[in-house]
Amino acid sequence: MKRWFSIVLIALLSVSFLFAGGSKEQAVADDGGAVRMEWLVGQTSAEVDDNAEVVKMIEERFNIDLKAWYVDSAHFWENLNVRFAGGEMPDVLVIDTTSQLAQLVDGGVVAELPIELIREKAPNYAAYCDSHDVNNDLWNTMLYNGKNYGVANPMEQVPMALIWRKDWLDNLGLEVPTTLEEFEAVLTAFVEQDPDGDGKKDTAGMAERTFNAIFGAYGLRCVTGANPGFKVEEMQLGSDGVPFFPYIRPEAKEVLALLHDWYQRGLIDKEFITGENHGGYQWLSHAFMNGQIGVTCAQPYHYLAASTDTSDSQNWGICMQEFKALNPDGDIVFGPAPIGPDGLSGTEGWNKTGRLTVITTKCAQDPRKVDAFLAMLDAYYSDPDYARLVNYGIEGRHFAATEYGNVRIMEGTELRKEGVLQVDFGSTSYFAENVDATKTAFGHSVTGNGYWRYNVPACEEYSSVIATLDTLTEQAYFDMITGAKPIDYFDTFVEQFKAAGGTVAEAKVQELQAAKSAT
Amino acid sequence: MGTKRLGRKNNVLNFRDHYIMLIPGILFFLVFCYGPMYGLVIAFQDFYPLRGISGSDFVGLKHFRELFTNPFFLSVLRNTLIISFYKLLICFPAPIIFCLALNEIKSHGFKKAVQSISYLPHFISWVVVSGIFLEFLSPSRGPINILLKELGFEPIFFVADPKYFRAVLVITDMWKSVGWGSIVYLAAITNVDPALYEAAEMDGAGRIKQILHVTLPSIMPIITVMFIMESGKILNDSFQQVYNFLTPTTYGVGDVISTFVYRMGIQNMQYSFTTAVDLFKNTISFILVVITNAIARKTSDYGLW
Repeated sequence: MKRWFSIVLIALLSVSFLFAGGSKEQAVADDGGAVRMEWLVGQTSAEVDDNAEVVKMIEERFNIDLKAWYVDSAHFWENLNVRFAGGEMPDVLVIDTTSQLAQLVDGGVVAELPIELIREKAPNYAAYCDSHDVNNDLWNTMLYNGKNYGVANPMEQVPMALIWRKDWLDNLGLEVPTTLEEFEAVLTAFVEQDPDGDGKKDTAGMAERTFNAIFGAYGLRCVTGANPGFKVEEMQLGSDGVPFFPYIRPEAKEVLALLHDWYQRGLIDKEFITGENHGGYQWLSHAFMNGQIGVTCAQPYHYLAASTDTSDSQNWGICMQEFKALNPDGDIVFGPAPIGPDGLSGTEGWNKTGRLTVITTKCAQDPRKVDAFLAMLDAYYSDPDYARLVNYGIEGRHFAATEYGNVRIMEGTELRKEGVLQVDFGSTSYFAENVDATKTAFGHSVTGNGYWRYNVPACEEYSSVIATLDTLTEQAYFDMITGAKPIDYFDTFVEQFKAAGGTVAEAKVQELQAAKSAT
Repeated sequence: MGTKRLGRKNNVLNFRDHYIMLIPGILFFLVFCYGPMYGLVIAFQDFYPLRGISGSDFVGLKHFRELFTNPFFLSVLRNTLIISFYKLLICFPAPIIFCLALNEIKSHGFKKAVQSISYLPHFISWVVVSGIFLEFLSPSRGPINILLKELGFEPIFFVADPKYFRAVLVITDMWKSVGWGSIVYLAAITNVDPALYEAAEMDGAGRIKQILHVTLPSIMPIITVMFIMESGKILNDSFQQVYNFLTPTTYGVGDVISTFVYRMGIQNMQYSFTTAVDLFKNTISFILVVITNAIARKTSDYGLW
């Protein structure tokens, strides 16, 4: 009896295994002539519903069977690599930096996408790139060992804005400063003249998020909102087209001397070391909201959506809402980046060339998939309605068209489930001009020069030492600003930096950049 | 010799049911613990996930060379050892003392309440704990510094000051783990024969003497075992904790192996490098456990094996 029972169980088990295998086979098969396209747009918050309306509309337009990949963002690359190792991969993939390209190409994940083919199958994209190639590097960003992998996009970027406590300025009868000297005078007043009027000397001028504007006044790019607090950009593209490490420039020593002086005098909040943000949404500045400092840096839209009107709560960004909740009578005003001794000024900006989108070796095996990918790319650069659909979704359901431009009315995770933001190419210049014109114009009206991020070409000399160089720099910079080491330590630091691989890496990157520019 | 072999054979035969029951356990360890160790070879390769282990090139000791020649390696290793040593010195005895004190409380309700409250920090993630302590120790808003200022001292930026950073790590670790760590000792104490206490009392031993001569010797085996296991963790620092407290001003005293590897590895998917570091760490840990166990066996009768 028992034996019979177990035989039946085993039979059931085997049958269920058979079916499990069978259903998997079916999933891979073609769906009525439509070619299956699997996209992985990056680190998102939710799995997409295959039957969502937006997904269906995209599938119909390109005659594809679209499957959006979802990979848990907490261990994104670990999880993804496990799937790669198991032979699974999407057809289209967005990567974070060009330095990942070498690894993915050598590892057999990413496939070549010849420029001639892009020009032939995506003519609108190609024409737009030709006319919007800001750094003259759009067509050579994705080159590796002389071949082209994937596409880079001309991105619309707004540099960081300086946000001042308007009520503090008003209390002291001060104007928003424009030069570095005026800037210092205002910060000094914030420290010494009790801007919040509570009778206590408990206010500082600024903290680490504004460092980028001070480095900018000396022509150097510095990243804001990183962890730890701030970070000088790894490499910067000079106006002569030659990339360099801003870390070790003589100008950096001047900035550090100035910052150390401000730190000593209390103009810089002593707690900048642990950062302005104490948890929660990354761009909130608790030091600013709690009235410890009088100026901070963020993207304009974090505070105001589409105009400088601070009285209309419809216009408030997420940081402004939090600020107002704590300071109902507080007010803010945007200010320009301070102008340095040589007339330079600017704040940090992100990539002008970005949304690095590649096709995999699986996609490349089927020319219909490559064609579909290029058609989807071209549509994003020629049809604003399509671009709006994949980025904002359907009007009334996912976004509302208001006087401040398109406003999302669905929460981010839900939006993802509905298939929005899955096959888009981000805030490209084309998108900003044709879909988001109001917001773009506002962002630029309150900011000035941007120091744009440079895509370092993939090479071992750079990638194997950059983490060490970063650590060296962070340690030395914090020590010099806080006075743990004298400013003259800078020269020792530069020697260490060069010896730890800085010289070799810089030379190699310059060589590769020169070779790229020549093509 | 012949009889001995026969004896063992008989033994196996006699207890064959037990031996058969062992097979699943042995298989489990072979498949899930010893099998994957094959993966350690990627420490000697330039590993690419898609190519797999068989397809990746062997590079010998390249990644170990990279690790040992890194300018930060020595300071990182030193920090790891010092911080772990402090933790072992202070955080290891803390739950024992706590549990001995708890055991002396007569009021059952109060004891339970203290116990439950002391467990709570264990369930808070390090991100949140670090947030709490950053505020608590803040030079401008933290209660400790407000008190210091009232007393006429200069405020101290505990978290960013290299002099205090390691103390912050040890104290927060103790705060988080003391209650949870005491569970195993409390369990051991409940097994102590009450007759021993009665006998001690008859002999005129007070509360302190009872703790020293009855409770402590009774839980000594579990203390020894816990200590041996703890000594294996000396190089396995607490990444979550250190990462959330670390700033560039404290790299010199607080950067440990795991935070260092995180910064080095995040740039690229450096599987081989991180595996090499893990192999190095675990080899040292293994040696430490063997040594501690040998010492424990020599000085007392307890040990893991």
